[in-house]
Amino acid sequence: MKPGLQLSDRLYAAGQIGRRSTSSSLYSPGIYVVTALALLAASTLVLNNLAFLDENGLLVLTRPFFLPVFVCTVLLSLYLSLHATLQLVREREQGTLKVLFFGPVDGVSYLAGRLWSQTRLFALAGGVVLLWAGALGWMTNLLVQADVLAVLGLGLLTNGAIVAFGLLVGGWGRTARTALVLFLLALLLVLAAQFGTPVIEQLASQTPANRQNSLLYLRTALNGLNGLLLWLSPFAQMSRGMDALLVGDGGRLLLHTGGLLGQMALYFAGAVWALKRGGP
Amino acid sequence: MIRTENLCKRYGSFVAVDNLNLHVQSGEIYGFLGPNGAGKTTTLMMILGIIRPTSGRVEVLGQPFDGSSLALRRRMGVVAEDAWQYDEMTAYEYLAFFARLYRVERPGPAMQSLLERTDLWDRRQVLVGGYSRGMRQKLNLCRALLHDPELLVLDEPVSGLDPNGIRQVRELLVEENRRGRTILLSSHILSEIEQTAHRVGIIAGGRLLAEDSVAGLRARLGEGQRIEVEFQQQPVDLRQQLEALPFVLKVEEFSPHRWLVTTAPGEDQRPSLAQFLAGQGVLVIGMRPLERSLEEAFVTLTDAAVRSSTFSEKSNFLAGGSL
Repeated sequence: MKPGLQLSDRLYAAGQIGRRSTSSSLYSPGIYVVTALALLAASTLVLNNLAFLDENGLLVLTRPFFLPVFVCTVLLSLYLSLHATLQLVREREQGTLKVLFFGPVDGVSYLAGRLWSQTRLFALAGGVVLLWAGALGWMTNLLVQADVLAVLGLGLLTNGAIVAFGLLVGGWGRTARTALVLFLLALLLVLAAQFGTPVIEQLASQTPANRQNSLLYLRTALNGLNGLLLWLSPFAQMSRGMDALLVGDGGRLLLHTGGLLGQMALYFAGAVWALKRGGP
Repeated sequence: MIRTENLCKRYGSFVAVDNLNLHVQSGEIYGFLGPNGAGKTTTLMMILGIIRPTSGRVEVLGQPFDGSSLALRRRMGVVAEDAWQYDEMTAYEYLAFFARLYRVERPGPAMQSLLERTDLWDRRQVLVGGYSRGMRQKLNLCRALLHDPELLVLDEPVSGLDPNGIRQVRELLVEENRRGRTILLSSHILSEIEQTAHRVGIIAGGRLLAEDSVAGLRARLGEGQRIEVEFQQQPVDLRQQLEALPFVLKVEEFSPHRWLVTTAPGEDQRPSLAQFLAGQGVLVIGMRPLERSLEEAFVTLTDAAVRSSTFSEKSNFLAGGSL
């Protein structure tokens, strides 16, 4: 078997799987509902800024659309990732995955197809977010700069990494319930590390020195976890990439873009391994 | 076309398939038989590269195959025992998806022909979710044939079909075989295998007990001709007299007036038997030779396998001896 032939076979199969998956998603309401909710949340953030501006007469915010776009990315990618997880588990439970594997589809092409489909859906939703930002900027006179596109580009990679993580969870979990629990546990871990550290730090500063030991121990543990999650959580990478964009640090932006690509590759490889290990 | 060498699959201490050496020749219909839990599906899944064997080797279409070659997979058509399909698609959409996946050049005519041959054409726009099990099984067969594969692997393809459906599938398979397709057919419906297969492999306890033509299996079952005799009146000691005849091996009573006489191998003993019975004043109504069925071969072989944990009969049988 020539490697080139195998690669072209895989790419073709991935394209077909992705095409079917995208079309199936576009005919269901999920992606539309989540995009609408994401835009609602993002609009609320912009309106809060406007209310602040109205009250104080001054708002120092260089990139008013960065945070709203980030929020949209988080919500959309979480939905697309969970959707990919459940689709994979469902196909496995129903046996349709096995039927695909009887034919010219293997783990790599199947997962690549799913990843490609969710990326396309994110790109479509990202286009809507961009239109929304343009429209809102025009209505409110808030500045929409070209680097919103770069944030959406980072969002696209973040979505890829999160979806690959979802596929890893789907490959690992044998049932929809197990996969869902695993997915939520991972999410809770990220949230606990990200938001738990400042809370513990604040608590430690308010506690008498002789009773601080256990809190300090917890803070050290959470700091360590946070440091690890910086390299494991795509959202953390995206957030730091946005910081680099704000200060115009091209090197750091490149580093975090590479970080996102690395995460995507790592989770994807893990998903392929999990699917191979568990079988279709 | 398919060759397995010492194929084994173990789950912990449980041996699902044990040193299986299967050989499916090009252009034949090979019937794969075995009781529930014999290891048929595990064997098929290993051949298809879905399950990784613990040890042993699989060769498909003349090449070593572990499931990784997508090009080889495209040359096979597979129907699994369970009718797994996308319920939200219509039958036509379902076939169109697989036609694209297999890169079928002119899918329209191929889809129409297959759907017509399986009586599904009129219901092609119905969602697969609304199909009966039999219709799903026929759709699976259409999917497996759509890309004109060289090799068909079918696991219980007539499961869930009504008698008409079974006949339709049988005709389809025979026709496809005439066109040169090799078919590996696993089924528990022995009459189907008997009517379609050129050669049969019988598996039990993960081991291949026999691999031969249907006629060959029948011949190995036991020696001698079996004659069913129906009569109206007989002397009290007729059975003893019959058993005393030099060419009679065994007499069994189906009913008081219908007996089964097994005679020694060699020439047809019906004239001698008729002559003897007439001499005894027996009014013979009918006399016909009985062919041994595949079912008998299957039951005899698999029962023997269950009885003997060491499978000592197997080596005797494979060597050509009788059970």
